[in-house]
Amino acid sequence: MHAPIPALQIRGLMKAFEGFQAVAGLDLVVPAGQIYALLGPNGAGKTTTLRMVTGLARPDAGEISVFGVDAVADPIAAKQLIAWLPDEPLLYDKLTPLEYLAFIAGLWGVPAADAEPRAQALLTRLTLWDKRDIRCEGFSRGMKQKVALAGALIHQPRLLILDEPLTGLDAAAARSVKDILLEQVAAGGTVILTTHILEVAERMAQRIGIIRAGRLVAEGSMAELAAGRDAGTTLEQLFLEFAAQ
Amino acid sequence: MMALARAPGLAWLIWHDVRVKARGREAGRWGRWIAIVLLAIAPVIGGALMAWRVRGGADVPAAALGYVGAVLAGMLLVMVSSAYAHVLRLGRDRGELELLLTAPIPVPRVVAARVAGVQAVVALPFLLLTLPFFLTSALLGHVGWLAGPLVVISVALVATALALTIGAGLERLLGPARAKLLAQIAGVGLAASVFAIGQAPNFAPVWFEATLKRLSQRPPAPWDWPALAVFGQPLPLIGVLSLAIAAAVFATRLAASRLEAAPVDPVSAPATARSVRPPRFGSGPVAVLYGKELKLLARDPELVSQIGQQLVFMVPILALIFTDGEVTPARLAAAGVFLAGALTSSLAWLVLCAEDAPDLIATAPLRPGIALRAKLAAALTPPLLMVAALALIVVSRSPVAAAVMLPMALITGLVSAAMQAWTQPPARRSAFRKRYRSSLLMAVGEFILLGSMALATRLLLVPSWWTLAALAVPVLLLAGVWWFRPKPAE
Repeated sequence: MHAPIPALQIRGLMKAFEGFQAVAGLDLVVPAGQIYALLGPNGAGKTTTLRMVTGLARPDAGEISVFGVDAVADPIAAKQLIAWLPDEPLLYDKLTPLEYLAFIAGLWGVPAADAEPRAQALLTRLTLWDKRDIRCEGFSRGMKQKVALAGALIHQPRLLILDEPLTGLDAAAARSVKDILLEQVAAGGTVILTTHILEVAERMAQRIGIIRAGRLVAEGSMAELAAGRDAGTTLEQLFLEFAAQ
Repeated sequence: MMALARAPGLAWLIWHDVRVKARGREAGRWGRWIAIVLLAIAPVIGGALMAWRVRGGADVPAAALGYVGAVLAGMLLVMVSSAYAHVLRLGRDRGELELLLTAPIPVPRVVAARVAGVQAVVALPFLLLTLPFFLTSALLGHVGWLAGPLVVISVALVATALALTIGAGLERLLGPARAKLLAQIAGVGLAASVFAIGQAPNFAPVWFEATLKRLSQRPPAPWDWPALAVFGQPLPLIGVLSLAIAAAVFATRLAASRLEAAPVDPVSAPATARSVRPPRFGSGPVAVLYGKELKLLARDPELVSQIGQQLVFMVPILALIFTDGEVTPARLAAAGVFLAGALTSSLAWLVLCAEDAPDLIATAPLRPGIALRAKLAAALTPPLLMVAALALIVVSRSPVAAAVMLPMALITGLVSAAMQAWTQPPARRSAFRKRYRSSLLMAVGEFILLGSMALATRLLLVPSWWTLAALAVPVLLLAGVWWFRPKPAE
């Protein structure tokens, strides 16, 4: 029997910037159909790694495979499967939410018959339908983040990658983003997120990877990471322990 | 310097404002200084020569009062336009402003410092232009003319107060967005009028002569007071200075009341729904990218007006083409090529360098070059439409001129766009006005490029072998830009 294809498989990934080794031989496997939290202190190489996965940066060495597609050799095929949501929403202030979704659907080649009802459903789900014809320039940060999330989901990505998705969101907006991520996984999708809010990672992620100085230093489910330690050990305690090693 | 002004006094606040505004990027600092020196040469030499010519004359030259009054009136108009643009931005940068407003400093003092910043920015270019003349004249015996710079500053104070009054009135009548749009359109119109008047000896010599004759007569009192104040007449000078001080006090009070009435930046205030056509789903990547760029351009009146202003500044150059007043198809074709190149350059910067979501485009599954081609097509569309309209005028008189103009405009547009794409770093759209500040060389290079292509168009229609020489200039320029372009770094 064949092993299931992982959503993301990284081998020996390297990236340096002007002498600084941001990612130093990273090996990582993210199984499909899970929420995976990639944690690490500032400058550990999380964002650089994810930017290489999404095709925004070229690795110096190593392999990246997205659902079996070589992301370095065939970036277009890999990008077709991925959505990337950075901490700063990628929006055009002069477009309305509906126009923005039509734009993203066009970039990913989603047929109108699929894109239009999906746009309506997403904007309704994110309580933005009544604002669909208002330009994004006057939106709050939370509303912009929700529009960007709708844009990331309009082409139904198999792998959704989010960098600090809850930064600056109020409680209600954060709740709806978390719900959508759980729904995405329930529907068979895979989510990779980075966050400094460790409670979010602890509650939502099935697997957690901790990287430090561009290398994976710990990986597993919360139970696996806490194995051999006192009952009630928190992710914060584990994180501080691994990050300090 | 900061130590000289005691914190948190008015002078200290003004110095803080000046320091923050004056600190540009480190890169290109030498280029900026060279540009400043080059720009200062003309007024210094011109002012000194003019002062030399009028040396030894009467301290109050009666024949010049009409001209001086007209110049001051023109200066006031331009200053109002300039002040209005700054007044619109007065409430922006709220983060910094709100920091100051939450500090234990009297609010009127903070507002006065902001208004003083506007007044200084409005007065400075005119002071730089006129100071060499007034200083040299004083050295040559006309000591009273040292009042001239004081009058220039007074005009700036009055202009700022007028701009604030107009701004408050228009905002009340039309709302902030429409008031801003109206001001931008008026600004373009005013700039066009000033340049058109500057070129009047070429375009309308008879009207120009008649106007000069009318201005040689002394205006009736008290309309001659500003001119008399320039020449240091005590009573008119006291009158002008009193008016300026009253205007400054009024401006500060009005600005403070406006800031209190509009506690958030109106630009970032929540927008209301507009009746927009529902977007089309199902278009391909090229179509959505092309449509997105045109939509973003059309929806930014501030950018459109800035592009309009830049094109208006080309009027003196174009006027050189029409110096003898004759408009031939060949000259129109050359002008069309020049304008198309200038417009493409601006638009290419906006669509290629000022992409708001570059990571979004980079993560989309697009074949290499697709995004660039779609964006280039969007940048070329408005200039080519403009040239096509011009070609319709030209074609009845000379089909050949129209046939030459269209491909030449396309080539010029492509070359301008390539220069932008190869040399300009990614930036925010709001930096459009400042895009050449860091590279004087780039601005000069673009000017040479456009001039050569316009010249080549004219020579091609003669026809002349010199066309090849004119075409060689952009080829060499482009090769140089390609060779020295900044290499991409991740």
